[in-house]
Amino acid sequence: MTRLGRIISRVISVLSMVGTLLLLAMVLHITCDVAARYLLNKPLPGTIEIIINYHMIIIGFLSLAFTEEKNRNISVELVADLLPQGVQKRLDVLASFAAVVVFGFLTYRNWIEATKKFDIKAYVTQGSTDIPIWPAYFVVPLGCALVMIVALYKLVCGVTGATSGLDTGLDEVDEVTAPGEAA
Amino acid sequence: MSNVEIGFSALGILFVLLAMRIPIGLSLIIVSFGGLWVLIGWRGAYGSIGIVPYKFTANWVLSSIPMFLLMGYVAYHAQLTRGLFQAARVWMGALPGGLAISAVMGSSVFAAVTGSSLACTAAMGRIAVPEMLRSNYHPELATGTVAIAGTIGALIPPSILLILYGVIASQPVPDLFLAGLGVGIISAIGYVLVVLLRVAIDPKVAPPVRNDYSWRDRFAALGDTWPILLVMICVFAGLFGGVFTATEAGALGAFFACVVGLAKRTLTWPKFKAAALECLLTTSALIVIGIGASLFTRFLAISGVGTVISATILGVSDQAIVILLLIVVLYLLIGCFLEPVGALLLTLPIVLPIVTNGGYDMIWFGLLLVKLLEIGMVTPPIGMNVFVMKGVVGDQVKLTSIFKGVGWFIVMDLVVVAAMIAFPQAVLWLPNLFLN
Repeated sequence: MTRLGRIISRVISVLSMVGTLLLLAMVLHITCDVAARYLLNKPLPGTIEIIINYHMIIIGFLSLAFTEEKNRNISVELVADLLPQGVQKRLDVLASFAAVVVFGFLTYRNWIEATKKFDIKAYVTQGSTDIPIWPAYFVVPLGCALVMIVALYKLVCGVTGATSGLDTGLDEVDEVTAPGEAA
Repeated sequence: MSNVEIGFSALGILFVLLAMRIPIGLSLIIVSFGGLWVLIGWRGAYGSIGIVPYKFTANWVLSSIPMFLLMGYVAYHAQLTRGLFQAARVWMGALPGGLAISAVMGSSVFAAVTGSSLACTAAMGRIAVPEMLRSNYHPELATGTVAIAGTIGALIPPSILLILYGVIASQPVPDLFLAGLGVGIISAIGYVLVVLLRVAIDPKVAPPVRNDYSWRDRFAALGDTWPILLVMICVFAGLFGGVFTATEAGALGAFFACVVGLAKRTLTWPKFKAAALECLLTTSALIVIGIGASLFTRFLAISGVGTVISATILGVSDQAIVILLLIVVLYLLIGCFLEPVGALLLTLPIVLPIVTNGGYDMIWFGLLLVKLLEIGMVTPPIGMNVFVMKGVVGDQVKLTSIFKGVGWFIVMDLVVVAAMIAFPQAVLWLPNLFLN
């Protein structure tokens, strides 16, 4: 089991690298668009649609599994913290179960949606540019499926008591400003 | 069961799920999906859950959140604002309680780089608190000042909370930001007054520090921080002047923060990666709750619960002030237990109908909410800023001392909230001046 956890964590760390590069790409893309608009009087075609349909969707949905792995989902701690440790462990298992069900269903539902968009080759038009957006629709079920896998792994570990090989630590980032809850 | 009864049952189930520590986003999705299924049948519920996740995320205003987050985290990790406290100290150190006042000033300026109250507290806490403790400042004053000053981070633009409010309540971000600037500055002035007052009552809490700086020193002290400040001024001038949208302002801010960091050689790839990872974690956590909140808004609107709750609350009294006090007390209580993003997205679907039906100004109300939720960042039992401060000082200062130190400032915050309610036009003064 531990090995499986390590493999999942490896996959997620690759995805978070993709997210990091995409953030950088998003900054550069928007900066170039603004520069082109004011300096050359010619904005890059379709910037807004590309940013929201590709960068935002990929950054948002592919990082979901990362958030699930690091347990950074926002929840109400108040009541559960008062309960004994054993009960709290069971609640964690229940939360994993809920995540498996919800993200499993979201995966299925959004896969159907994506195939529909694929069939009609969905696109948006900004100015005179047509931008195909159907591929972005497949990112949603992909992201949801990854969360489901992480949650399922946590659920199995929780039920069987196996040690999880998931890397839940955040060595690379600053623990003091522990993100996820930061606002 | 009538629609309204179904709505209230769903609310009850929601509270049970939340109490069982099911993440807020998941709880909202479960309850809304189940509720929609019962109310409008399988097809409606099935349809919503396929459309909302994509539509909520692919949003131009929302895309400003990762950009502003990245800008703040890059500035934080590359330590671009390190010199802020020193600069403030050289200018303000001579005042009574000068170091504490400098910490408030430093936080206010750092607030223009970050949209997060926690990052603001952590950044200033690491620099200002050790220096205050070395100068024999009372630990309560030292930690309390920085913990509360962090809350300015979510008021002075950029502000993640204000952007989220703008997305959900469909309000323009520049107006919210300008109003936030005003409220942030007034709050900062309030905190400075509290420091002055405390030192006047008991001079021992803040012994005078060496302060014989010349004007040359004063301008030299600005040298370290001016590049990032210049970037921020240009970015926000562009945003308020209508030259950029919020997302563009955030992206340019992040871009130039990276440029400044590279030029100063403080931004390395591992630091950029740390900033980006924090940004990814925060963004996706926000998106799940946001999707849940959008579904929940749909469900509440169809069930009619929103209308019933708003009619009930508005029917409590025909005096607007009574209803507002009710909302204020409610949010102060919620703030004690929930962190702001969760609290905002969880309650907005219920509260927005009250605001629209009550005829309140939406920009003003957004600011009132954010201010109240930020007070929740420093009130026990769950006060995130205080916890971050505790993490920074370690065993030197007790948690209860930090909460006690913050107490003085909370009184001032309540005065500010009262003033916001008494003079709504003061909150709207800046947006009206620049944008209308």
